[in-house]
Amino acid sequence: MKRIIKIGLLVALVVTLVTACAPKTTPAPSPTSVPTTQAKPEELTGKLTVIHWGSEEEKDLVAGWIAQFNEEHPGITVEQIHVPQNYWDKVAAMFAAGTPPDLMYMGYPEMVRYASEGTLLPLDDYIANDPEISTDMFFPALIKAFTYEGKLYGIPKDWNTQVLYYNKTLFDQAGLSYPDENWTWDDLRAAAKKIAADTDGDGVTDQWGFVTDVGMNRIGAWIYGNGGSILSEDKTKCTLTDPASVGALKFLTGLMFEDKVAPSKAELGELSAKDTFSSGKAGMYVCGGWRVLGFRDIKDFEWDIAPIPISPTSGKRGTVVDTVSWSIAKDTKYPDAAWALLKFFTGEAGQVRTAKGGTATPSMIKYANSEDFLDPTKPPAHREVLISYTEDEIHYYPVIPKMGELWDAWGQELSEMWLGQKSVEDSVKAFCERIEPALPK
Amino acid sequence: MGKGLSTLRRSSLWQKLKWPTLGKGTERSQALWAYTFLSLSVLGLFIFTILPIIAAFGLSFVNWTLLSPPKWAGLSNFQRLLNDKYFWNALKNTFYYVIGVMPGIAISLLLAVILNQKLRFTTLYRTLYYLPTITMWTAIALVWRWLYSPQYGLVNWALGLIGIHGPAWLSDPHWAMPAQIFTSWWKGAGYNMVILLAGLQGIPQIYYEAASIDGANWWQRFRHVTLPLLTPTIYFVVVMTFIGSFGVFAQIYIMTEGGPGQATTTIIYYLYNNAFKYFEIGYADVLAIAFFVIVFTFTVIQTQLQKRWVHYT
Repeated sequence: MKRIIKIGLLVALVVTLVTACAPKTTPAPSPTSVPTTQAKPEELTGKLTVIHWGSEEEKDLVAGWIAQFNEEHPGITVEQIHVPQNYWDKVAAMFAAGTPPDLMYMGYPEMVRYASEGTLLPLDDYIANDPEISTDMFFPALIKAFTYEGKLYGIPKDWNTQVLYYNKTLFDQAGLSYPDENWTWDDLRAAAKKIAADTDGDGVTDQWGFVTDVGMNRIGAWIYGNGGSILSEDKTKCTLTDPASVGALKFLTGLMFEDKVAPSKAELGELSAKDTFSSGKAGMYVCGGWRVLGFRDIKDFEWDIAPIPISPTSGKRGTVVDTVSWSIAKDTKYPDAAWALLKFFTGEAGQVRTAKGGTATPSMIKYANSEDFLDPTKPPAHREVLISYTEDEIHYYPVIPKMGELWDAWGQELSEMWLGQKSVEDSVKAFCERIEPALPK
Repeated sequence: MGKGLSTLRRSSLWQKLKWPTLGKGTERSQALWAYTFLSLSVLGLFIFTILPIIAAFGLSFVNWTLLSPPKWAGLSNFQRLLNDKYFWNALKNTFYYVIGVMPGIAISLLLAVILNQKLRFTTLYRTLYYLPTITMWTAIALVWRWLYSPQYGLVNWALGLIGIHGPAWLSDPHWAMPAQIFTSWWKGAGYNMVILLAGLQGIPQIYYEAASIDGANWWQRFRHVTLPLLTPTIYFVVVMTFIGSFGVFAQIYIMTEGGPGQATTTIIYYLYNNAFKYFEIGYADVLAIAFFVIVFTFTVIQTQLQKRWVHYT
């Protein structure tokens, strides 16, 4: 009998604890009302939690903006949480605990999961009713990135596209002309063959023509440029097995294993593609605009950027957008205060800082075309390449709610292909087989 | 379970345990103090270990993404387990790893026997061999990643000296797991060595003297005196190594991230991915239960098998 009572007590305790930790089943009434009349800044009140990732420098920067914001909005208290690592674990835990952050950094691949579960505040009405900010101030591609099922879930703070970095010094030595907007894959291949060399004569190539990481954005640029895709438009089918997608992968693996002018993952080992380029051991390198800052320290050679070359099969080029927004949790208690802070973060202070920095492109058209951003006195001389892509050249990660599965399928099922141990055909088949159960039905 | 427990009860360790009871006088006040000091850690154990275990059983019947409330799923998560080829692959990899790690115990035994001799600097050597054990996996895994680097790594450099062209260890699906196992040998050798060393020193000298008088050489002494009397310690080491290596995670997470392909995806790594990358908390809990059942079954089998080879004095 005693035992039964004990067990009963235990179960009761567990149940109370478990239910206490579980998110509330009846969410607080979400703010559907929209400010029709703009409240004066000094009248707004609220207590906001802001969460973001980034370096120590970024932490101080955001802290500085919050202080600046508080001068105009004394009634709003802001708590800043800086998460340098495992950011998404922390955000998910805060949502699971029923205490979501009010404002957060949000990438568009992650946004869909949060938006599809109804945890983010749609911002369409806010931006439409605010005279100080409008969607046409931003690059349309970015507004599109943060739109899910017709609603806007984040205001982009900055963005990047994939470009071709090239070592001008190595091009000069090989007597080659620099890559330009008319360059095709064939030109790249021919140039890579000329640059690749075994400079110390030990039988191992130590100067590469081309180098790339194998992330979905880098490789996606080639796949989309060739007219292929990773998932179908409605995301219900895996299309990496399509001939155009396979063709792009074959071109890239061909540079590694047939022409041997690009290092494979095995040849790179622990050295990154970035280090290979920045140490002058590669003629060309594909990456996003965030490398500019680090590469400005390069002393041993000159470099510049060019658009991703054109596919000879499709006659088109492609690039993949990376962009981060500030988003607001749907359950925020102070939506008006949160909106005011979001507007401040994505406004002039943030835009100018992005333009002057070397890691991203301002999300507002005006600031991306400013002297601060395009400054030709600092490398790269042609930074405008980053914003030169036309709307039909710009592509996105194929975002699905189960994005985690997609990242893993990409990283794991294609890894043997990048090592030259599995054919492109077999790898894309394994990829599709892996991801299909996770696709939206 | 019952049988395992009764074996434990009969064992000498259990007999030696004295449970402080609320008796009289000094004994009583001492017992009270003991329980007072214990209560904190028992409470901690309850909140951070026992409760989550119970919660895991409950959550295995729901689908929960962390973002929205859990939804009842019945047994569907369990059904999914049976048809999930990635789970079976993870199980296979885990066994590969566990079986691979076991021979490492022989290395520990060898080290223990050598360091049990009266050599110069014995204490220094013991400390050195123990160092990897107290070093964090994060640091070790990062260093070994560089050691295994195909072009610039020390491992392939050393192999090159004897004319072997080493593979790209961690990025080759055939070599990634052996590389993980080797690192585990290196990391685990010291810990098992210390335990075996304690076991060796617990063997009464008189047995060796008796054996010597009977004319036994060093090998016979080792084979017929040391080994049998060391079996309780070896048994402990085997069980602990088995359970520990079955739950391998940190080194996989840092050195290979489960790859290349799925070559080093073990059960716990797969579980972690399901919980924190795919946000399938319910399915991750099913994996946790499967993990528990497997480890428990094997531990029970080992407690049964031990009767055949473990000699208690």
